[in-house]
Amino acid sequence: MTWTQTRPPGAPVAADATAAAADPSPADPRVPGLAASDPTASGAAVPGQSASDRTESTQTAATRARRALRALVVPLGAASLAPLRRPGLVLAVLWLVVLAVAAFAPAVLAPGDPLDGVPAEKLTGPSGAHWFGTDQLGRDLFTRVVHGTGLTLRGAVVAVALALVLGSLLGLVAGTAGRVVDDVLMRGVDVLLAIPSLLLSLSVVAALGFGTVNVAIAVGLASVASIARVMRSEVLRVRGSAYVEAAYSYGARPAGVLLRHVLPNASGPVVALAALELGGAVLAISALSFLGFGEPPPAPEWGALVAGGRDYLRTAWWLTTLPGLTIALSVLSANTLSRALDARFGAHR
Amino acid sequence: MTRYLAVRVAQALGVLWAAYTVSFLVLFALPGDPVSALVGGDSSDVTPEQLDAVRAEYGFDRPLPAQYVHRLGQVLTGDLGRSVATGRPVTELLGEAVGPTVQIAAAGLLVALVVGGGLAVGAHATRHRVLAGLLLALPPLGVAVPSFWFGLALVQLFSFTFPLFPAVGQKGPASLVLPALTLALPTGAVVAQVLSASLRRTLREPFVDTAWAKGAGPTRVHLGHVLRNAALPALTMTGLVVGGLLSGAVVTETVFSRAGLGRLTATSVGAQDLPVVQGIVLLAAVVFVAVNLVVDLVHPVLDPRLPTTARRAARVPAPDRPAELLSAAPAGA
Amino acid sequence: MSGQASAPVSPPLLRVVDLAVEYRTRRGPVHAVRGVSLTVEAGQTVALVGESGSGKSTTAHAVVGLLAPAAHVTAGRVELDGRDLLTAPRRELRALRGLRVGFVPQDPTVSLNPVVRVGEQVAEVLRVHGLADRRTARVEAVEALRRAGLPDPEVRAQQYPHELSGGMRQRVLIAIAMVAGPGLLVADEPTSALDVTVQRQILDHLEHVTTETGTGVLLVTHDLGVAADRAQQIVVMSQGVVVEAGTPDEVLGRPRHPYTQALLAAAPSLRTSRAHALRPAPGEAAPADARLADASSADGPPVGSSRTDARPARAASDTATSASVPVLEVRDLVKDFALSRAAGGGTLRAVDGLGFRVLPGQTVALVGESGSGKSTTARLAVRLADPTSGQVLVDGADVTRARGRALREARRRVQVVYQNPYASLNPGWSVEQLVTDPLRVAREGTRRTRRDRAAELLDLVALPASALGRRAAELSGGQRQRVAIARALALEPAAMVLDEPVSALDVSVQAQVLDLLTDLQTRLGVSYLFISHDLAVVRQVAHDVVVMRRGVAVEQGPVERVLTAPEHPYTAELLGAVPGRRALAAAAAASASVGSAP
Repeated sequence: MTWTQTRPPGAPVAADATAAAADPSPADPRVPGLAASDPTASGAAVPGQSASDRTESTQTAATRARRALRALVVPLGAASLAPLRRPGLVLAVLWLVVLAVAAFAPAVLAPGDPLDGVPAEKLTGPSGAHWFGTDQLGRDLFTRVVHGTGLTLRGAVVAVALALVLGSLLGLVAGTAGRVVDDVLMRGVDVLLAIPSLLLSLSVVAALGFGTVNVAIAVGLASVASIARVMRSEVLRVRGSAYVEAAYSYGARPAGVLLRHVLPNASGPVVALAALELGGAVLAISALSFLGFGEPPPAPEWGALVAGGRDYLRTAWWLTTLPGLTIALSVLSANTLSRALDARFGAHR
Repeated sequence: MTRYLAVRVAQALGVLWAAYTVSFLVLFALPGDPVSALVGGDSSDVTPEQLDAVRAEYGFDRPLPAQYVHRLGQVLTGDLGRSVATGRPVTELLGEAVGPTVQIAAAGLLVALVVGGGLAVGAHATRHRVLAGLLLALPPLGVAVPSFWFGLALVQLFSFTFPLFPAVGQKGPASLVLPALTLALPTGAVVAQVLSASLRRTLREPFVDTAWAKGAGPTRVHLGHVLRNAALPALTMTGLVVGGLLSGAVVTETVFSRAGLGRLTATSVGAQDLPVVQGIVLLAAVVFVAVNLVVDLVHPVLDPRLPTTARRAARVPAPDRPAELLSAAPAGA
Repeated sequence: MSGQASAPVSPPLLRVVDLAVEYRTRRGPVHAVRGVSLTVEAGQTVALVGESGSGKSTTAHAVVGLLAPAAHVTAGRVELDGRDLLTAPRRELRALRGLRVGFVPQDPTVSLNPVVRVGEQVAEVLRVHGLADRRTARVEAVEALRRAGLPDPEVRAQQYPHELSGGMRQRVLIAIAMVAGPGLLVADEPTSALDVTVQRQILDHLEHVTTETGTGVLLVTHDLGVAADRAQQIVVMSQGVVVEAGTPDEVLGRPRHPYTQALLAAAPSLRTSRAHALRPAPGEAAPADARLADASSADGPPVGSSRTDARPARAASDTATSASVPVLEVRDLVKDFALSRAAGGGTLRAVDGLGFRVLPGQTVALVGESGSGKSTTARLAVRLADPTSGQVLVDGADVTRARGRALREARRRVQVVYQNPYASLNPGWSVEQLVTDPLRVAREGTRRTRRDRAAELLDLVALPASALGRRAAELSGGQRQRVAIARALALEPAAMVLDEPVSALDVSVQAQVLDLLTDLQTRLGVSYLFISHDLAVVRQVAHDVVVMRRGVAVEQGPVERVLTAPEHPYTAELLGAVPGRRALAAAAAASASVGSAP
């Protein structure tokens, strides 16, 4: 065997090896020998970069003008042009905006009373008067869904906020406080991951009791582990980066590095994950309220609405289908947003 | 190898002990009075003396550390305590519930692997970009649909509109179809997403070009080279997938009114029957740990790069980045 | 040549005619290859030379039909034995790949299937084309590995790729490409991921095998030296078009196109003179290579002149006094790394008893191949890692165990520039933030004075002040490296540790950055510890050189002496492996004859 493979991973020649492997992103065609020397599919996606890297012996006024234009447009373009290329993302954001309105000012969308039924109009299908139809007590389903948004969505936000704070803190400490602390914390996180998240939430609900707040806490606690994990790996990634080493080499102090380099660069993927967890929290809260552990009956939580329609599956399809679709669209929107955020922050890696 | 095995088993036991600790902390140390929950909440006809009697019976009158040690001793001897609601031993309740759940979980896992895996491979192997886009749009959809609603929709469609399968109950293989599909939806979507991300990464590897340059056909390249490599990181997610099946069973068994672990979980939580809930949590942890142990033992056999003595196995495999779950769809989609 | 003799009768082995390839991106098509034509005769080696983005790899991939999904051939023909491959049905292409056309990819470390035994991967070619059954394929695979120069092929065939070194893996890939006896071999930068001595062995072997079998070779390389040494025909590409083609003598001796001339002037291995010799006196305008403008010149005036140089040139007098205290010195430096249990435990001595001194205004180069410990030494020298034993001295003061303020002071005196400018700059920051951060950290000046200083620093590294507001992500590799240099200069260090500062850059950009570095040394008197694997680059910039192998300095001394009359056989081996030496002699002869002709 030659000496090349007796080398321990990440030890002495790490700097040599990282030299070549430091930037594994295929969008970097300039590490000689490792990456393609021509625009690859991804490399070509940033023509501005690769083009400017070439030696331009034949530079014309036109290319100069184009470059100037690009310098202007690129920062703006992210905001103004990108949405046109991504109709899915636009729809997702619009939907989330509508949900936010429904959560904080439900009367704007549905002025009626979600608990007030007209017995004469019970179990009528969707129509102009009742967009989502009515239930067995003659209550307008659309009004109930709109007013239920607040319960479900606010629960989800509380859950994610809880998970984000606890998880980020755990991950940050694990990623910075040294090996022993890291090992202890991450073993703990491993254990949380060993218990299926819904089961963990159910245990917390069993201990704390029912209701929206308890359900939100339960769902949030179940997401702590995954956020802690991503935060930690991001912190470690940034801490190991050449630019952090460079900062230390010109005298930066650990606290400054943490605040100015690590946190800003590590938080992007965590934010993307938080958006994903928001969708997950909507699903989990709906599932728990479907199982009957949320607010007690008259409250129009989304999951409870679906559960309430169970007995009328044969006759009133809308009672389960329309609230179900609402949940699905909301989760899908949150996930779409998350993917866009991840792609945005992933570009820097 | 035996040394490796011993280390791994010791680690697995460590995780189990920690899982017990977590479940104890969650169930018995969180604020909330387990005893008043046990005897029926706010009922005023219970005298303080009766409450104390119940406390003594379940050991809640002792300080938490003492309770912790006492219950740990019981668990180690295989005694998970008695159900508060029914008075029966927890182990007995679990034993009865495992069978039906294993049935739908196995069926669901099979469907999830075949459909989810097939979808991922198909999307990456096809040359039709539109078809690939369509296939890749499905898993994110599958993750977003609440499975309790999906189950009800299946019932609406295949039990009422077209009476093909029974809506409830567990008689005969036909009753297994709809629950298995319901369970397979979230699992299959996750399988497809994880495998897709892995396939996409693998397809970018230069060794795939080497394979094409040999003149190998698409079947050989996609199955022999790409899938063989891409499946390895996906394999490490098996533990999470199986855990997900157990979560799914809670909802599925409720929707289809089937007996099993999931139903037991739902009713025990509803009755705040803490010993049973703790038993289920411990069982889930045992399953998770066992699955990961098997995966860890199989993995070095499938991947020659992993030394069997590696410490990496100590870490529970799970995605460290959201991208690993999200990137199933191409960035442009 | 035999190919030329048969040319009139039969079509050439490979003929590429007016090939055009574009990448379809979200921002519209990128024309990577525009109207490229070239011919490879049987038994002939044709080198396709260019920098990144020149379209050379795309051309090679188009020939083997391995274009990325986003790439589309928009025009032209690729004829193999007179048959157009671009219009051929997929099935027919499949039958040709591996059988008539062998392909050697760029990076051997990632180009083999990691979970399949090496022998099986060679045998697969034979199995795919129905040339052998399972048993005979195995035997033939071992034979092919032997022919590819792999020692103990029977044993190696049973191993997995990760168990082999990079050079061995490249031999396996050559075996894969050659096992079916193809008429054409397409090699895409086959050695650029390898150490120079291994590169030489592999190229020697490739030459040997293809000559023996009469295989035509299309050799893609960024290294004009490699091309000059190995090819009968050189095709130079730039920005998607062929700018020059001809024999090595023609291309190197009488380059017609300005791009080739510039490339030639920039190629370190073909540059005969040291940059020092070209250095202007302080105060004179820096040498901007007129033929090869750096991308930065698009944004503003080229190199800053003395007018904008606020720093006094404290160098000139200092360098003269040889008795001055070394800015940076290491003594008996030793660094051990604990090996993981998986690697067998124990320790690995990465640096072993190293000592050298960097005098004011001087450059000491650390040269070695991967694993030589040169980068570890760099980290030790700036105290980013702690040595196992030995001393690090800055300005004559021992800082080996310095902590806190003392350490920060020492670090101010010795700054670092990293190899990869894509990783060493915080991607979210503006250039101004990047350059002024060292000052902010040192609590020097106000926001306004720091901003002025930033403009000054940018001017020093020949970047326009308009770059201050840009983010690192918007800059090219060469520009980023200039920013990194400016950042390192912010604290006015006495010395800079340059860890492979140009090896991530294209040849022409490389030359500009090297010129900038030598220019800065003249003007500011800053010392360099220059880490490099490239002897040709070292020859240009260094005063003293330390040749390292496996943690030990096998030879050290003045550049002129070590690189012309090496005492250690390893140094001689390294020198002999530098590509372009063969051609250099020939070209010198050629240009001499041209000069005397008229």
